[in-house]
Amino acid sequence: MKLRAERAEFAEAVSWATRTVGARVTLPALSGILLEAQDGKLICRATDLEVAAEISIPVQIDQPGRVLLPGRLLSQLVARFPDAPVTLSADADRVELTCGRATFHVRGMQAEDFPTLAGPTEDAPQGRVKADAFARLVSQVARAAASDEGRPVLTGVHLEAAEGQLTAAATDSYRLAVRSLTWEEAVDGTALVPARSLQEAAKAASEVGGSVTIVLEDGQVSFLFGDRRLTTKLIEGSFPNYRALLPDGHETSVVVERAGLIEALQRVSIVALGQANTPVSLTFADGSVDLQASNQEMGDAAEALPAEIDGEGLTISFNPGFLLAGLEANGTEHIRIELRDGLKPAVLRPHSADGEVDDLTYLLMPMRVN
Amino acid sequence: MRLIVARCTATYDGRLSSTLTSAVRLIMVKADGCVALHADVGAYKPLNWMNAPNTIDEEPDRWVVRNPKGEVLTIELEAVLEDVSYELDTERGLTLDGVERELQELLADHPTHLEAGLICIQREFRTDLGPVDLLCRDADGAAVAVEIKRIGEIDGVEQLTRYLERMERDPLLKPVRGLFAATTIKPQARVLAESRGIAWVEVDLGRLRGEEDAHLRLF
Repeated sequence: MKLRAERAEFAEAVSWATRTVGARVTLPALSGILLEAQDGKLICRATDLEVAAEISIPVQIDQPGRVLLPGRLLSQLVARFPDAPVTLSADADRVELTCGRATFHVRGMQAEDFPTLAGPTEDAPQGRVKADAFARLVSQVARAAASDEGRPVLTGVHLEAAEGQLTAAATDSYRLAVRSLTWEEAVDGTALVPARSLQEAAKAASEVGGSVTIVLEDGQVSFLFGDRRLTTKLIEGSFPNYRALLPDGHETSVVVERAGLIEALQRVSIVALGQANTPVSLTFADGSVDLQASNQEMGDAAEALPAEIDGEGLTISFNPGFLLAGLEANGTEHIRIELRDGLKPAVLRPHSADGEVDDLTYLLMPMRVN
Repeated sequence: MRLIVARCTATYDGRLSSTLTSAVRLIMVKADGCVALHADVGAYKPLNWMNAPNTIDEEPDRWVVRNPKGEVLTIELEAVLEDVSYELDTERGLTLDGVERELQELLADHPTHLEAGLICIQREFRTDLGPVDLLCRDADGAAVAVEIKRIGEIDGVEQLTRYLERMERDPLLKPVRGLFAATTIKPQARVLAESRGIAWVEVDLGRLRGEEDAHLRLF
């Protein structure tokens, strides 16, 4: 195998394939990155058997072929390549890489040991969505998924395509984020996608732009964008019936300027930094929201800002990190907070005078305060 | 355990496919039916494997190992250099991983998280097949053997089944029923457990830890 590639493209392809897949290696071949050159393209593949990544770049091929190289070593090398074209030539299991005046010889692995990656099947249901809309959807929702593997089902994002909508939902049992967007594709189906994989797909979508094709199959979902493909296994198990958790009314609603509330929250919650159980309390009354946090070791903080309050005033306390995540998920200038009492979940929604907002709901359980 | 040293090739067909070209390798078949293919490098990691439950169709020069998921491992034996079997002592194997150890400790202290009225009599109750995580008594005084895993899969149910068969022979314990506990239990494991009259419970580790008391939950 012999080829010539542009350094930047080659480096980007190698680094994307290796970092997208992660470090979990159960077979030796999985620590490798498979490079396959044919028909004017170099295809880079990596997998950990849960997630598979594939990216292709245009190259000049003198001799087609394929080689399996240690992924981490290759990505470290290419990150430091000088700014010059890259030549790769492979002979049996020895690969020579040259870039400018640098030459490297790397021992390859048995390419036959690399598992064949199951790509999307031809007739699997698929639909397209704009890359930026997809990235936004994932960013707003995936933040609510659990990071603790103690309940694997909660580490996923539930995707549902039905009746012209694509709905994403995630919850860690303390908060729930749900967002729907219009998706006029004739595809129906659900998938519970590992949040990490979905976030990688969203990141790639942001970088590449254009549109993302989502292919839903039994046990896996693929995301295709431009020159890249990410396929991930789905999480087995039943996602909670989140629709039943959404309250059907509220007693009090508050509209407050979002950026101001975020800044105030960040300041006040400094005393809660590193203290897992220190809540921030919000008192809604008399046209303002008063934030307070205190901690015996650190001290206390308070700040007030104006708020439009419709209904009875009340005090409610939240985990400051969870509240911040909900505020940041919304993109509007103002945010609407719907409340019932200090022990029931609050609902955060984007608020805009002209009504043009994302269909986003962030449900947040309060903290109990003695 | 059966150990075979042979020059062989192997193909795996399932969600993905892989092929191992001809080389001298070690094929290991354990008492529970697991088949693993090892090279002379790579520490504990087999090149390929098929966990139990599975079926092994053995012919002189070819093995076909299948599992209920439809995955197939085919080993073509070109030359068998050694084929030996040994009875190994049965044991639990490696110590529990961090989460399983923690779950065992917490559930031993709070067995009612598994079932109302359950009392823990002993942790790591020894049988001649290995230790059962918890021996408990239920509200009626009957013995309950609890097997704890982080992720509940079919092999955990199989393990508990073997323990129950053993414990049933003890006149001081019988009748013994089984309870399979894990943070999450796969659907196939649930079906297998139910078909064998074994109860299963998914345990919320966070709740069990009792930490984050101040945080209320949606569910």
